Amino acid sequence: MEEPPLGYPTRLLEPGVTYAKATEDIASIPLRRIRSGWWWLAFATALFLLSFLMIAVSWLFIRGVGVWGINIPVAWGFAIVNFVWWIGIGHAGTLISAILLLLAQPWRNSINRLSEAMTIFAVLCAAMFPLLHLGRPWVFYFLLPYPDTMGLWPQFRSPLVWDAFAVGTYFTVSLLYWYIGLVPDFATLRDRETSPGMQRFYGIFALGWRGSAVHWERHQTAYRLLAGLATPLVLSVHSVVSLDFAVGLLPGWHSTIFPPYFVAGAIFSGFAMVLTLMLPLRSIFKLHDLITPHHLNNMACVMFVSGLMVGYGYFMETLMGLTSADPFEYANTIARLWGSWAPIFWAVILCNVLIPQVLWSRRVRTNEWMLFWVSIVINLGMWLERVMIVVCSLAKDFIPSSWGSYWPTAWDWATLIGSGGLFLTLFLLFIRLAPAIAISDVKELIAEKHHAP
Amino acid sequence: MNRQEYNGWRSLEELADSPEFREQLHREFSVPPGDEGISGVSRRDFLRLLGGSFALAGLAGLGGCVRQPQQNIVPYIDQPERVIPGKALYYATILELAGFARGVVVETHEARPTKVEGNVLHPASLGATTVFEQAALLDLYNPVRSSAVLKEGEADTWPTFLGELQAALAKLPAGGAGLHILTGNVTSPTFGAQWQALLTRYPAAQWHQYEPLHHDAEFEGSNQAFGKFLQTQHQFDKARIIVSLGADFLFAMPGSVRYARDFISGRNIREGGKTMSRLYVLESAPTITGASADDRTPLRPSAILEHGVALAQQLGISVEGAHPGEAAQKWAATVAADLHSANGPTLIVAGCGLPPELHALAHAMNAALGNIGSSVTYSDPVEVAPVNQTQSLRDLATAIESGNVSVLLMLGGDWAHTAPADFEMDALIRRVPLSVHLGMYRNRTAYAARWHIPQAHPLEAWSDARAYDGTVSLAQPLIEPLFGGRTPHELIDCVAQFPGRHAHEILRAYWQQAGLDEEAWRRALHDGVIPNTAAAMQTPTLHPPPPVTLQPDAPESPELVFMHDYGIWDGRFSENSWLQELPRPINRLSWENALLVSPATAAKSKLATGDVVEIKTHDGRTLRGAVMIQPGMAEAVYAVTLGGGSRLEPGLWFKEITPAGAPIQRDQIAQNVGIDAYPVRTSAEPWFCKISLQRTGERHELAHTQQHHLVNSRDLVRIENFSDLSKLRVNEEVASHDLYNLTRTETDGIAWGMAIDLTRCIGCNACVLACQSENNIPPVGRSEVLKGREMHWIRIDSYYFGAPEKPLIAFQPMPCMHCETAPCEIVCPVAATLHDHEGLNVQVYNRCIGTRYCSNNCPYKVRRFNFFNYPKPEKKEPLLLAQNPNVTVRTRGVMEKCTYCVQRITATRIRAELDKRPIKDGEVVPACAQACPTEAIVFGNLKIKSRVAALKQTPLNYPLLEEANTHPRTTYLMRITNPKT
Repeated sequence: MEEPPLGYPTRLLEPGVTYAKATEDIASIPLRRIRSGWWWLAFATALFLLSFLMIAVSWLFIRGVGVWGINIPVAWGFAIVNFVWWIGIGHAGTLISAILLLLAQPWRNSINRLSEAMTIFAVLCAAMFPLLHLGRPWVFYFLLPYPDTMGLWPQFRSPLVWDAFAVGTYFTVSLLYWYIGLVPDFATLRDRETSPGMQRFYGIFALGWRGSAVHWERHQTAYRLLAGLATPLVLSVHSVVSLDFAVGLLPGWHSTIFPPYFVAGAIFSGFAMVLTLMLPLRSIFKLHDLITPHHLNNMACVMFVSGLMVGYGYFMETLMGLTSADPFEYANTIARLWGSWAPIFWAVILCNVLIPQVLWSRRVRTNEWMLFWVSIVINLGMWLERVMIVVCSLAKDFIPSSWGSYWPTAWDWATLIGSGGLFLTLFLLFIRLAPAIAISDVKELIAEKHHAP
Repeated sequence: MNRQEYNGWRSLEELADSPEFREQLHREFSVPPGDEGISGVSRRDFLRLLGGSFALAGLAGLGGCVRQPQQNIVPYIDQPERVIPGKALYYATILELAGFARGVVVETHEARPTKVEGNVLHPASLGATTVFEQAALLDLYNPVRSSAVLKEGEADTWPTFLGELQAALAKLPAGGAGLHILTGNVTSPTFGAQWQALLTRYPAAQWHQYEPLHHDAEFEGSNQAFGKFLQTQHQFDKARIIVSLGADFLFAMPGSVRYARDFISGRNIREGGKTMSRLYVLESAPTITGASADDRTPLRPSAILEHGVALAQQLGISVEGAHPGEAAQKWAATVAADLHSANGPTLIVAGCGLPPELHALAHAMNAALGNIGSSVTYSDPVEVAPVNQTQSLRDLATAIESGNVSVLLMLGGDWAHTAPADFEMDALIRRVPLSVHLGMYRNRTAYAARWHIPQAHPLEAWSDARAYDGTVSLAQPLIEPLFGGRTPHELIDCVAQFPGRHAHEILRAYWQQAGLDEEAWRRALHDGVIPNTAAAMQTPTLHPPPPVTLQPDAPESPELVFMHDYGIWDGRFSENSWLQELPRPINRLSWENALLVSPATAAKSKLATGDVVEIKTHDGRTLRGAVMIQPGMAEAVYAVTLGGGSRLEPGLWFKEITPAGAPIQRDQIAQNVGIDAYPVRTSAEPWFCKISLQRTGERHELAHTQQHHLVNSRDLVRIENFSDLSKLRVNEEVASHDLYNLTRTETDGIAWGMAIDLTRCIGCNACVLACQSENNIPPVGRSEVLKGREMHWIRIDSYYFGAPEKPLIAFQPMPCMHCETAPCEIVCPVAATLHDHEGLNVQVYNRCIGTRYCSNNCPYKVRRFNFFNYPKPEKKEPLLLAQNPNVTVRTRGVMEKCTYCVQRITATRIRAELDKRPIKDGEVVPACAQACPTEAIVFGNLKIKSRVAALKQTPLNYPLLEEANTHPRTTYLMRITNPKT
């Protein structure tokens, strides 16, 4: 079979995409209010899953964190696993839209909006967990630096304080960046909207955008500035999250490789999640013209390369564990390789290292179904990796007498499933109310194509 | 002030009557007016400060303008003497275990007992306690305690009971035949006198005694050896070689607390002792005595007898009819050679679970070795009426069966449940026309009996009892009976004379007669002992040992061994949640017992920990329970502790009705808590019996607090041979390489530190419960223990070294290490855990938000988290009274841990500051160190010439996980063993 042409820049848009068609294709999704039943079905499912979270969190607040399976020594369980997993997922968005923008990679233009939205919602899901996992969540504000009458401040040597700052900054910058990008598109929707209520709704968010050259000039300045701000955050957030572990003494945590290894893992899982969400949308909304095989290939490549880095991380960690002459580190490594944690470790290797090797083939990289399946496997593998890091290291540390085990309870699962529900709910609301692909950015591509020499 | 004027004393200093204390007392009343007083502030300065603070208070009042809630402060109309709110008072009294007294000093706050300590003056305590004394408080305030007189399970009244009792007594034939009393061990002289008084009125009345963990074998052995019942007393400090034939003398004997101290003082290595005693132990299942042994051999009970016989023969005693096997001969030859070469007295001690013949042989061996008079002494039994208790209870059973019992008073036990199964006591009690049960809990006997009378807790009661050596102590009440209980003295008095006197009156009258005048009485109450009442020593004549028939060993047929329980003893403490939750030594089971079995036997029978098996004795009684694999068990032996399992049929405890007619629903603590072994324990075979075993295919998850007992070649417990001791050096290299100034507190010359001596730790758990009681640590229940959420601030890890058939068992108490460079502190995001200026790693509960990061980063995992609101104050009304007012009760969601008993440090600091002197060494004693029978835990200031500082200079000292760069303030002294080389 003939390989589909992937050459830049022609194949970023399928032939025949005009300004009007792009606007119509994209804007019609929110404007026609998605009359098809599938959205309502999906939304109902998402709400159902969200109800798990509501009930689980209510029960958690009533009874305490004891409803989860955590114990001493495994004092962190699903809550922290989910936190790290979601925050990892929240990395692709900024990477795609900010870094690729600065690197002048126009292929990002048709996928940035979706991935940015995913970032925002994933970070929201992630940020929820550190608060839920507190023993006394009602005093969460002790984590923030505020002028306390007793002169008390957070303890700035603690990685958890760094976390609060890193995640808070990342969320703020990502939200602003996403919104700045949305302003021209909200104006488009405002102009094309027929019902007065929704016109007002979009009008408020469009901030009086008229598309003048001054507007565009300022918009581009702000957009690029924010991209510049967001870029280092992509590296910093997951580095800081990794320090939660690397600063600790525990065998399996106390490792200098963690920051780069976590960043690579974040990009890996982030791209996997973008693919997991985008591939269904692409076929449902028939966006093949805008999201071309070229995009799939590029994303798969990024995912693949970051996956290789993650694999390198696993290799180095194991190698260091086996050769460090630290008996605790060694025992932890052995427990992963052949001991009680072997099933989790080898499942991680299978999902994150072995199965992604199929991405060597360009056919797989451009095949919707194969890519979708691989991305699901990677999402699962990355979640298991966090279980391995958080739970397995805690369960068996220095003194054998205090070794324990960990079994998640129904409330642990309900919270995890519920966080997925929250993510889906927000995501479905987003594609229902805002353009899932950046109209202005796509038009920019068309313009470039038209004016190409 | 004359100390004799009152019964209580306020502090240990006052008790000791040190010159400093006298001086302090003197100064209290001799500060001239206008001079610098206690605080060092002159009157003028004081008034100036007062004016200033009033002005500030006014400003704050204007600024804040908060209306305070209106509350009434009601003053005493009659101020009770010496009760100062916030100041603790201490009273000496006694607590009994199976009738034998252990002296305690009880701390009370505003007339409620809050803590039990050992009494330094009492010979059975010397200031230390066991878990049972520590947990007595919980029994006192236990919400499930019996609180109402019951007639056939329905609430009734005391006067009605008295009426019925009088009517029944009146109907007795002349001489009072048909009147029977059943008690456990009784050592109370007053009770003895009461019984004599009762006999004058009812000469035909009979008194039966039965303890589930009885000493029949000891008495019968003494009978065989000396022709009479004698109490053997052991001086473990004098013995150079000790051979224990199945005796758990560090825990299960009446004098065990004292014995533990004596045993360890014969092994005092850390303070420069040049000699060390050697302990040989033969036992079927690991006990804490076996864990302290230098040479421990696990054997089936029949083989212990065989080894004992072989040893006797080696020592030149002819034993008729016994031909021990080769293994026994070999062991005996080695031990006998060691015994002969010992430069001083030795000691042979036999356990209560082995046949009388072995006890007789032990007496003969001690005589042959010349130990009598030095390490072994004899006196008359301490009990008022020593009997063979199995026979005594059998007499009662026979009497009931023949219809000769019309009134049966059962004082304080649960014989319907704990009596030998073949007596079928439950059914028999129901056949007695008037059966009365006096007890603290509505146990099975309470429901079998026609009447149940709530019993006063020992801390609510006047009484007296003798210690293991015969010393008499008075028991005085610390609090009025919370649930209106009566004492055995009062109940028995109702029989002798109507309507009966108050226990105080009975006791005072007896002791008046016994020659204790008012001053001596007060002195006795104050000190907690009546001087010179120890039993007189005697030198009995030894008869030749009886013939012994050795059963041929049949290792293919398994045996079931019954043991005492390290938490609930024989089941009498089964309603005590502190004791139920206490991780038992060695196997660390909590809230239940299991059928312990050796790894090899389990492998042979294809059993795994948690498999439920059905045991069948040769007379057809069956028992179901979960198996637990326990290294160090004898082959083909299954061991089970007594007292597990539910004590009542479900639903039975709902029958209690209030006088107003409303049913009271109370929980029973002992539900679903392991195996009840009493149904297979018969009078013929009370300690071990042959069984057959069947797997049921079911599984049961056992609750325990330690899953891994192997150190995996990690440097956690250091063990050295005594013979290699001279080779040990202080590790100068590490000390000189250290770039840090280790003790970083410079401000006021105080750096608290602790040393824990692993040679001395016998694993008895007293520290764990002392800590629980002192620091308001809530029990969490079986389901939470299963999840790994127990709350004990100090735990006693146990490890096995060597072959699983014959392991060395080592204990390691683990409190917070109070690291100089504490890993928990740097990771707390809110600075809720930090160092104070004296080097304590402290936890600020109201700052803690519960991220649990500190626990994750603690390499010792000594931090405990409140996953739920464990204290649940709304549900545990009387239990709140047990709480130490000086320690915060923690709520849901905060981390907690050992504080080195900071409240005690603070109290001492205040006292020292008032006296304007530095804190002296030994003045601050944490609860764990105070309770420890062997003084294994030493605490003090590392900056002065203190005991702990000196210990840390010895080559025995080592920090745990030094490589983690934590610089722990708590360090360990190596375990020294002394096996024959």
